[in-house]
Amino acid sequence: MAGKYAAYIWPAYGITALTFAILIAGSLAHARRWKKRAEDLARK
Amino acid sequence: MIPAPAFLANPERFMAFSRWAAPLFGAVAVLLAIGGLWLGLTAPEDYQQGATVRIMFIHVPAAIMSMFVYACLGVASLLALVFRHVLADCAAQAAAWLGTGFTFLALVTGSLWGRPMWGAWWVWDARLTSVLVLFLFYIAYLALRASIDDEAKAARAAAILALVGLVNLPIVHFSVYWWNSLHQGSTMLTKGALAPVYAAPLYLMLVAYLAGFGSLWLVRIRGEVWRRRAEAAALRVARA
Repeated sequence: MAGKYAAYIWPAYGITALTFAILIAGSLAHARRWKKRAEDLARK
Repeated sequence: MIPAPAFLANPERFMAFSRWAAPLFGAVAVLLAIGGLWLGLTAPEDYQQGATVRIMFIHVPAAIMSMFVYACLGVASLLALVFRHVLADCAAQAAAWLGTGFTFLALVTGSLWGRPMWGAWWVWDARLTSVLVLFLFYIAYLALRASIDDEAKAARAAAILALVGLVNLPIVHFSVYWWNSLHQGSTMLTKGALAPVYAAPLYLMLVAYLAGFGSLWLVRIRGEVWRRRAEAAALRVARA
Protein backbone atom coordinates (compact mmCIF):
# COMPACT_ATOMS: atom_id res chain seq x y z
CA MET A 1 0.00 0.00 0.00
CA ALA A 2 2.81 2.41 0.85
CA GLY A 3 5.44 1.19 -1.66
CA LYS A 4 8.95 2.56 -1.27
CA TYR A 5 7.80 5.01 1.41
CA ALA A 6 6.47 2.31 3.75
CA ALA A 7 9.43 2.83 6.10
CA TYR A 8 8.16 6.39 6.75
CA ILE A 9 4.39 5.96 6.55
CA TRP A 10 3.86 3.01 8.91
CA PRO A 11 6.10 4.37 11.69
CA ALA A 12 4.16 7.66 11.45
CA TYR A 13 0.86 5.79 11.92
CA GLY A 14 2.37 3.54 14.59
CA ILE A 15 3.72 6.46 16.65
CA THR A 16 0.37 8.25 16.29
CA ALA A 17 -1.52 5.16 17.52
CA LEU A 18 0.92 4.72 20.42
CA THR A 19 0.70 8.39 21.44
CA PHE A 20 -3.10 8.28 21.40
CA ALA A 21 -3.03 5.05 23.42
CA ILE A 22 -0.85 6.77 26.04
CA LEU A 23 -3.09 9.87 26.10
CA ILE A 24 -6.26 7.77 26.45
CA ALA A 25 -4.88 5.30 29.01
CA GLY A 26 -3.16 8.08 30.98
CA SER A 27 -6.29 10.25 31.12
CA LEU A 28 -8.58 7.38 32.13
CA ALA A 29 -6.14 6.04 34.74
CA HIS A 30 -5.65 9.56 36.19
CA ALA A 31 -9.42 10.10 36.51
CA ARG A 32 -10.10 6.63 37.95
CA ARG A 33 -7.25 6.79 40.46
CA TRP A 34 -8.30 10.13 41.92
CA LYS A 35 -12.00 9.33 41.85
CA LYS A 36 -11.35 6.18 43.89
CA ARG A 37 -9.07 8.05 46.29
CA ALA A 38 -11.63 10.85 46.78
CA GLU A 39 -14.43 8.34 47.39
CA ASP A 40 -12.31 6.34 49.86
CA LEU A 41 -11.45 9.49 51.82
CA ALA A 42 -15.06 10.70 51.78
CA ARG A 43 -16.12 7.48 53.52
CA LYS A 44 -13.68 8.05 56.41
CA MET B 1 -30.63 30.67 28.37
CA ILE B 2 -27.41 30.21 30.36
CA PRO B 3 -24.25 30.66 28.20
CA ALA B 4 -22.21 27.43 27.95
CA PRO B 5 -19.04 28.65 29.77
CA ALA B 6 -21.07 30.05 32.68
CA PHE B 7 -23.11 26.84 32.82
CA LEU B 8 -19.95 24.72 32.93
CA ALA B 9 -18.25 26.98 35.49
CA ASN B 10 -20.20 25.24 38.22
CA PRO B 11 -18.21 22.07 39.15
CA GLU B 12 -21.33 20.00 39.90
CA ARG B 13 -22.90 20.92 36.57
CA PHE B 14 -19.60 20.30 34.80
CA MET B 15 -19.27 16.84 36.34
CA ALA B 16 -22.86 15.97 35.34
CA PHE B 17 -22.30 17.26 31.79
CA SER B 18 -18.89 15.65 31.27
CA ARG B 19 -20.14 12.30 32.56
CA TRP B 20 -22.13 11.74 29.35
CA ALA B 21 -20.35 14.17 27.00
CA ALA B 22 -16.87 12.59 27.33
CA PRO B 23 -17.92 9.09 26.11
CA LEU B 24 -20.13 10.65 23.43
CA PHE B 25 -17.26 12.74 22.02
CA GLY B 26 -15.01 9.68 22.26
CA ALA B 27 -17.45 7.56 20.24
CA VAL B 28 -17.76 10.32 17.60
CA ALA B 29 -13.95 10.53 17.41
CA VAL B 30 -13.59 6.77 16.88
CA LEU B 31 -16.26 6.65 14.15
CA LEU B 32 -14.81 9.65 12.30
CA ALA B 33 -11.26 8.29 12.63
CA ILE B 34 -12.34 4.95 11.14
CA GLY B 35 -13.92 6.79 8.18
CA GLY B 36 -10.96 9.13 7.80
CA LEU B 37 -8.38 6.34 7.96
CA TRP B 38 -10.33 4.25 5.46
CA LEU B 39 -10.55 7.11 2.97
CA GLY B 40 -6.96 8.21 3.66
CA LEU B 41 -5.36 4.80 3.26
CA THR B 42 -7.32 4.03 0.08
CA ALA B 43 -6.76 7.47 -1.51
CA PRO B 44 -4.69 7.48 -4.72
CA GLU B 45 -1.03 8.44 -4.48
CA ASP B 46 -0.26 12.13 -5.02
CA TYR B 47 1.59 12.97 -8.27
CA GLN B 48 4.35 14.77 -6.32
CA GLN B 49 4.36 13.27 -2.82
CA GLY B 50 3.52 9.72 -3.85
CA ALA B 51 2.26 7.56 -0.97
CA THR B 52 3.67 9.94 1.65
CA VAL B 53 0.52 12.02 1.18
CA ARG B 54 -1.02 9.54 3.66
CA ILE B 55 1.14 11.03 6.41
CA MET B 56 -0.68 14.35 5.83
CA PHE B 57 -3.93 12.85 7.14
CA ILE B 58 -2.40 12.38 10.60
CA HIS B 59 0.18 15.19 10.51
CA VAL B 60 -1.96 18.19 9.53
CA PRO B 61 -4.72 17.56 12.14
CA ALA B 62 -2.03 17.08 14.83
CA ALA B 63 -0.37 20.37 13.83
CA ILE B 64 -3.70 22.25 13.87
CA MET B 65 -4.63 20.69 17.21
CA SER B 66 -1.28 21.63 18.74
CA MET B 67 -2.17 25.31 18.15
CA PHE B 68 -5.86 24.98 19.00
CA VAL B 69 -5.11 23.23 22.29
CA TYR B 70 -2.59 25.93 23.19
CA ALA B 71 -5.27 28.57 22.51
CA CYS B 72 -7.57 26.63 24.89
CA LEU B 73 -4.73 26.54 27.44
CA GLY B 74 -4.29 30.31 27.06
CA VAL B 75 -8.00 31.11 27.50
CA ALA B 76 -8.30 28.76 30.49
CA SER B 77 -5.15 30.28 32.03
CA LEU B 78 -6.53 33.80 31.58
CA LEU B 79 -9.81 32.83 33.26
CA ALA B 80 -7.91 31.09 36.07
CA LEU B 81 -5.66 34.10 36.57
CA VAL B 82 -8.37 36.79 36.43
CA PHE B 83 -11.28 35.00 38.15
CA ARG B 84 -9.22 32.48 40.17
CA HIS B 85 -11.63 29.84 38.95
CA VAL B 86 -10.62 26.32 39.98
CA LEU B 87 -12.25 24.62 36.98
CA ALA B 88 -10.45 26.95 34.58
CA ASP B 89 -7.17 26.01 36.23
CA CYS B 90 -8.07 22.31 35.96
CA ALA B 91 -8.90 22.88 32.26
CA ALA B 92 -5.55 24.60 31.66
CA GLN B 93 -3.61 21.81 33.35
CA ALA B 94 -5.52 19.15 31.41
CA ALA B 95 -5.03 20.95 28.09
CA ALA B 96 -1.26 21.22 28.61
CA TRP B 97 -0.87 17.48 28.97
CA LEU B 98 -2.91 16.75 25.82
CA GLY B 99 -1.34 19.59 23.83
CA THR B 100 2.11 18.16 24.49
CA GLY B 101 0.95 14.92 22.87
CA PHE B 102 -0.48 16.64 19.78
CA THR B 103 2.61 18.81 19.32
CA PHE B 104 4.89 15.79 19.70
CA LEU B 105 2.86 14.04 16.99
CA ALA B 106 3.04 17.08 14.68
CA LEU B 107 6.83 17.18 15.03
CA VAL B 108 7.44 13.44 14.64
CA THR B 109 5.03 12.80 11.75
CA GLY B 110 6.30 15.97 10.04
CA SER B 111 9.84 14.67 10.36
CA LEU B 112 8.82 11.29 8.92
CA TRP B 113 7.27 13.13 5.94
CA GLY B 114 10.19 15.54 5.57
CA ARG B 115 12.87 12.87 5.26
CA PRO B 116 11.63 11.37 1.95
CA MET B 117 10.26 14.68 0.57
CA TRP B 118 12.91 17.22 1.63
CA GLY B 119 15.79 14.80 2.17
CA ALA B 120 16.15 15.86 5.82
CA TRP B 121 14.62 14.76 9.12
CA TRP B 122 14.81 18.30 10.42
CA VAL B 123 15.62 21.79 9.12
CA TRP B 124 15.79 24.98 11.19
CA ASP B 125 12.92 26.38 9.18
CA ALA B 126 10.69 29.11 10.70
CA ARG B 127 7.60 26.85 10.87
CA LEU B 128 9.42 23.84 12.32
CA THR B 129 11.35 25.94 14.81
CA SER B 130 8.25 27.82 16.00
CA VAL B 131 6.41 24.51 16.51
CA LEU B 132 9.41 23.23 18.48
CA VAL B 133 9.16 26.40 20.62
CA LEU B 134 5.44 25.62 21.10
CA PHE B 135 6.38 22.12 22.29
CA LEU B 136 8.93 23.62 24.72
CA PHE B 137 6.25 25.98 26.09
CA TYR B 138 4.04 22.96 26.84
CA ILE B 139 6.93 21.16 28.53
CA ALA B 140 7.87 24.30 30.49
CA TYR B 141 4.24 24.73 31.62
CA LEU B 142 4.09 21.14 32.94
CA ALA B 143 7.55 21.37 34.51
CA LEU B 144 6.73 24.68 36.23
CA ARG B 145 3.51 23.28 37.70
CA ALA B 146 5.32 20.18 38.93
CA SER B 147 8.15 22.17 40.48
CA ILE B 148 6.01 24.34 42.83
CA ASP B 149 4.34 22.61 45.79
CA ASP B 150 1.85 25.38 46.53
CA GLU B 151 -1.06 24.72 44.14
CA ALA B 152 -2.18 28.37 43.98
CA LYS B 153 1.33 29.68 43.31
CA ALA B 154 1.95 26.96 40.72
CA ALA B 155 -1.31 27.80 38.96
CA ARG B 156 -0.50 31.53 38.88
CA ALA B 157 3.07 31.08 37.62
CA ALA B 158 2.04 28.53 34.99
CA ALA B 159 -0.86 30.71 33.82
CA ILE B 160 1.50 33.66 33.26
CA LEU B 161 3.86 31.39 31.33
CA ALA B 162 0.96 30.10 29.22
CA LEU B 163 -0.13 33.66 28.40
CA VAL B 164 3.43 34.59 27.37
CA GLY B 165 3.46 31.55 25.09
CA LEU B 166 0.34 32.79 23.26
CA VAL B 167 2.63 35.22 21.41
CA ASN B 168 4.08 32.19 19.63
CA LEU B 169 0.75 31.12 18.07
CA PRO B 170 0.58 33.80 15.32
CA ILE B 171 4.30 33.21 14.72
CA VAL B 172 3.62 29.50 14.09
CA HIS B 173 0.69 30.28 11.78
CA PHE B 174 2.22 33.13 9.77
CA SER B 175 5.82 31.85 9.78
CA VAL B 176 5.37 30.39 6.29
CA TYR B 177 4.34 33.83 4.97
CA TRP B 178 6.69 36.05 6.99
CA TRP B 179 9.88 34.17 6.16
CA ASN B 180 11.21 32.12 3.27
CA SER B 181 10.13 28.70 4.37
CA LEU B 182 10.64 25.18 3.12
CA HIS B 183 7.32 24.31 4.69
CA GLN B 184 4.30 24.79 2.43
CA GLY B 185 1.64 27.40 3.17
CA SER B 186 -1.82 26.67 4.52
CA THR B 187 -3.59 24.33 2.10
CA MET B 188 -6.74 23.86 4.14
CA LEU B 189 -7.56 27.59 4.19
CA THR B 190 -6.98 28.04 0.45
CA LYS B 191 -10.08 27.36 -1.61
CA GLY B 192 -9.58 24.67 -4.25
CA ALA B 193 -6.00 23.92 -3.18
CA LEU B 194 -6.89 20.41 -2.09
CA ALA B 195 -8.50 17.76 -4.32
CA PRO B 196 -11.71 16.35 -2.78
CA VAL B 197 -10.13 12.89 -2.65
CA TYR B 198 -7.60 14.26 -0.13
CA ALA B 199 -9.81 16.91 1.45
CA ALA B 200 -12.42 14.38 2.65
CA PRO B 201 -10.07 12.21 4.77
CA LEU B 202 -8.18 15.28 5.99
CA TYR B 203 -11.30 17.06 7.27
CA LEU B 204 -12.69 13.82 8.73
CA MET B 205 -9.44 13.24 10.63
CA LEU B 206 -9.37 16.85 11.80
CA VAL B 207 -12.88 16.58 13.28
CA ALA B 208 -11.94 13.16 14.74
CA TYR B 209 -8.90 14.71 16.47
CA LEU B 210 -11.08 17.59 17.67
CA ALA B 211 -13.71 15.23 19.11
CA GLY B 212 -10.97 13.06 20.61
CA PHE B 213 -9.45 16.09 22.28
CA GLY B 214 -12.88 17.14 23.57
CA SER B 215 -13.40 13.73 25.11
CA LEU B 216 -9.93 13.43 26.67
CA TRP B 217 -10.02 17.03 27.89
CA LEU B 218 -13.25 16.39 29.77
CA VAL B 219 -11.87 13.12 31.22
CA ARG B 220 -8.66 14.83 32.28
CA ILE B 221 -10.51 17.80 33.87
CA ARG B 222 -12.72 15.32 35.75
CA GLY B 223 -9.55 13.65 37.03
CA GLU B 224 -8.21 17.02 38.20
CA VAL B 225 -11.48 17.80 40.00
CA TRP B 226 -11.32 14.39 41.74
CA ARG B 227 -7.67 14.97 42.63
CA ARG B 228 -8.42 18.29 44.29
CA ARG B 229 -11.43 16.81 46.10
CA ALA B 230 -9.23 13.93 47.30
CA GLU B 231 -6.56 16.31 48.56
CA ALA B 232 -9.15 18.47 50.35
CA ALA B 233 -10.65 15.32 51.92
CA ALA B 234 -7.20 14.07 52.97
CA LEU B 235 -6.61 17.41 54.71
CA ARG B 236 -9.95 17.15 56.52
CA VAL B 237 -9.14 13.59 57.65
CA ALA B 238 -5.67 14.64 58.84
CA ARG B 239 -7.14 17.53 60.87
CA ALA B 240 -9.88 15.38 62.44
